[in-house]
Amino acid sequence: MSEATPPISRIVIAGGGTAGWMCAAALARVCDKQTTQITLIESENIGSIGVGEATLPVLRDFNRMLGIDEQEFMKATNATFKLGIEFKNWARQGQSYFHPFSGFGLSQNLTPFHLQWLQAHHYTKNAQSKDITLPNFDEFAIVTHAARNNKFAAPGAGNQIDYTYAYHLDATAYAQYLRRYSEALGVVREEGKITHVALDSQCGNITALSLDNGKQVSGDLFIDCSGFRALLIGKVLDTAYIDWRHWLPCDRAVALQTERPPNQPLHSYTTSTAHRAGWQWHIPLQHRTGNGHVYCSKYVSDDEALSVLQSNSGKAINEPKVLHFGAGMRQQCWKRNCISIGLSSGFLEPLESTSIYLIQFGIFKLIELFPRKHNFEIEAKQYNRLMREEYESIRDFLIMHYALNQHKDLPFWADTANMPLPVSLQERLALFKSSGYLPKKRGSFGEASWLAVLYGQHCWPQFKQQGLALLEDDKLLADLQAQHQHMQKSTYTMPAHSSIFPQKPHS
Amino acid sequence: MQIIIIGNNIIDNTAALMSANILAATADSSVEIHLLNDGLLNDEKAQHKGGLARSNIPPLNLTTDIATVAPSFAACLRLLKVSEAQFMHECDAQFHLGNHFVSWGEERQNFHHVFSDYGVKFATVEFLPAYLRLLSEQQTSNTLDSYSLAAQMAQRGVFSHPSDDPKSIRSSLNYSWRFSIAKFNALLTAKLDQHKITQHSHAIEQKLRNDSGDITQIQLQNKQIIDCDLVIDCQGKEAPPTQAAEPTLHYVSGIKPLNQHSSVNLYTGTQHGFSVQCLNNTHEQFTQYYWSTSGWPTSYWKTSDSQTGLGDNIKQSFTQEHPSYTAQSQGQIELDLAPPQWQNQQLDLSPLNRKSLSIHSSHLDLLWYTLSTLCNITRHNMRSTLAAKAFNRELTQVTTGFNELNRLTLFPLISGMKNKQTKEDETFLSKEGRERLELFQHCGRVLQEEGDQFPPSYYATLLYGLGITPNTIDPLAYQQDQESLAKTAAQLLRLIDNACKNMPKLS
Repeated sequence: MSEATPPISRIVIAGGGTAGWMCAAALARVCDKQTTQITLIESENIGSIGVGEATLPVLRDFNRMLGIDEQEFMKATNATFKLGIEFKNWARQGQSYFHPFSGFGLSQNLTPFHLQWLQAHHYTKNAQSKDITLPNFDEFAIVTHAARNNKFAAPGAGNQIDYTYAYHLDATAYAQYLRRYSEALGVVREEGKITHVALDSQCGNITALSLDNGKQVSGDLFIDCSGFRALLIGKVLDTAYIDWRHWLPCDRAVALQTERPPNQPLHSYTTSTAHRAGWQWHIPLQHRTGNGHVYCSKYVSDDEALSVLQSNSGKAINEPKVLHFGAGMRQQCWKRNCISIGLSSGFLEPLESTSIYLIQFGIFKLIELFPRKHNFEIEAKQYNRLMREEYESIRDFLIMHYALNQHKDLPFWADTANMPLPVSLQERLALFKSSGYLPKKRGSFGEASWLAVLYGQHCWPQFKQQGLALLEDDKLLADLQAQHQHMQKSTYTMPAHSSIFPQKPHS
Repeated sequence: MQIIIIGNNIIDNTAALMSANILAATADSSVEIHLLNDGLLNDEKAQHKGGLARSNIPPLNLTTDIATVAPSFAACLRLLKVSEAQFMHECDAQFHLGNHFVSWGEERQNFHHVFSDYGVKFATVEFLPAYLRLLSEQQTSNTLDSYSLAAQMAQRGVFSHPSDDPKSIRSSLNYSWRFSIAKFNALLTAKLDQHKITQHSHAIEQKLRNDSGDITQIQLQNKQIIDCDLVIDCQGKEAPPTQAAEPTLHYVSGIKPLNQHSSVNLYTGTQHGFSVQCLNNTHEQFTQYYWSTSGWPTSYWKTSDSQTGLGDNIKQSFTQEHPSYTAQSQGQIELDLAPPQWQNQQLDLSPLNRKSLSIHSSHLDLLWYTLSTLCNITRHNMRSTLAAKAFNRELTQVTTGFNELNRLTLFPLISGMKNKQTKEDETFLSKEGRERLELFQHCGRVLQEEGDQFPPSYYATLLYGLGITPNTIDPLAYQQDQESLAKTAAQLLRLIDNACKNMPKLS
């Protein structure tokens, strides 16, 4: 073992915000305090986007790794619980489906639940009697019932069916909370704007950042958390951006915070509502509601987009904020001694709440591949491969939401339904339609998530009755109805979400 | 819905027996399963079609008919409703905790490689980097095996089942079995009636196809005609009738086409080889792999396990393809495991029993994986060509994964270790294998890849056992101070010792 290779002793994070402070907190937690110095540079004059107020369940793993107490965290970030996402008007106008953070039903005799449901659906559709009915596919998740009744209980408390949950949170407050956490572990915060980046003339590595206050911060490893500006990875290291706008054409968003509506139930889920040329998010926090309209500027003007948002949101408590973006990612998220994390590494619209997740994924992979000082090439190669796989996997999942829409009369939706798809997605959809099989795929969204969207948007396998397992129709239907009833009943004793987070004034 | 399984020597044909029973256990009663015994393979038939007649195979010193399996095989037993007690009693099974590599490679490494975790995880770091740190700081002189509960259990001849209590050190234990394949076949045969599988003893006269080439009917010599939706061929490569009737079937390599670069020259230079020692009727809980440098064939054929593919299979292939072999000539042995092909409604399971080099798995593991994947994919539609494509792709991925692991294990055979990478090495390991090795050599890490059937720690401890020492220690191994790390390691040794003391002796 060669000990001649010194460890990384100076880590510099360029940019605060959610990405910067998540990074600082995680690295401060795992690196040896005695030998590693972590410096974060941020400027109060540069605002942060405050990405992703809605999260995925894996954020709980991140908090657990930091040793954060859930109650304390929720209080500090005005967080609420999130059981999934309700998609309104996505498949067709007036129709909704729920993407829960859980699986669906019980598999029987090794037959996946969704194929049982499909068989029962076929049976009820062709049945003579109108009394024979089958609940929608998404109703075979306990979480759907809990969410639609605005209830919440932590899994495992007497529930036989497994599920998980995430949070809605104030991302800016989360960054502040993690700042306190990081500084307590010795992270040094430098106030200032980066004015110059010094490179090693031989290897091209970044050696130091100069600030507008005259300070210079040297380092061994630099993490670019400068957001869309991509100050280090883009502007200095000139890393190309892979453009996916032809698959995900929405390029703008207008965000607006509104009051928490008084005397109304507090949703334990995110809502995504399709509009004429985009969609709107609705994220309930303890003290306010986050709203935003993601749209494609080719089909709708900024004014119209804002007007649609305002007419579908509550009483505003801030000025609307417009963001411009383009779906895609960096050709290399790790180049030389610089790793981009957060918006500097890429952007995928927040349809499935993946912004904070992608930050977390980048941090976890950085920790897994944490380098020594002398050579970054081998780690960088693996890191870039893993980031690419993850981004592409999420990209395909998001594109599917658009590709399966049935709004034939609206140009934006008709165009996205007819656009050529990435080969990977094309093959996956064709296989599912033909055989009902979804091959296992690495990434944040498992089979249940894909099924939620596929069934929710009426993309079902062809029913050919040529399978290995066909169950007896009437028995199957009775079994599914019993399962459904059990799931409904399981939510009766759950507390209302609003009782956990009573109304409080906006601060 | 009718499925036809074709085998010969049915009572000895594990592939056919497992296929019939597993499909029957998962299929609905509307699916009829026919098991066709195409008769005993006779020399005349085999020779006529270019196969190797059994009488021409030189007598081998076969001591056992033992099969070893990986822990995932437990799911197969559960599906077949065979309890562990019944299985152990009826199949003369023994507990199997891993492999024992003896005098492995030029460095003559001796190490156990277990299915269970080594040591304990230190925060975000696996045990191996922490152990390497302790070793480099001279805080331990114990071998890695000392920190493995399974290795210690084997050395002391004790056994106890894993514990459900996550606080117990026994909760990390994982094991499988070694058992008599003949007795397992007998158990499967007894289940045929229970599963209402129709057996036919007449040989096949002809196969009838539709316009697209699918086999739709099989006519037996007694003129009986059986309709079929799916045909599963379990006759093995030495069953020429099927090969002749199915010219479209061919063997494919998981990595490269056979007979090209995938061949490995086992006998250059020092004429390395290795043999497998499976001791029956003992309480040995490891399969031992002995490295030999005394040239082949004496030690090579010393003992053989018909299921690990190292005995008769390789010799058969070798003598068949290199009849003029002498100890001085440099014969080539095909090491790639050919994944099965599913074409025109015909699934060929036979290659699984051929030309496979299995160290970390047996053909039974692959057979189980194949059948469970088949059941999954065909539950809804057996006639989907896309499903067949997906099936072939998944199996290729898994067999490639197994192959890669086997190739890494054999790597010292080629390179003589010590990072001497020659042109020959490059053809021995795939790009992915080389990158995995490179990353481990560089920093001691292994990433989980799609197609891996074992966790990263399984690969890491294997590579370390093979004598590959990473150039650097994972920096995260330094997040704990030396004293507390050493204390935890010492405590672990005591825990292992106590756990072993409380276990019953196998004898």
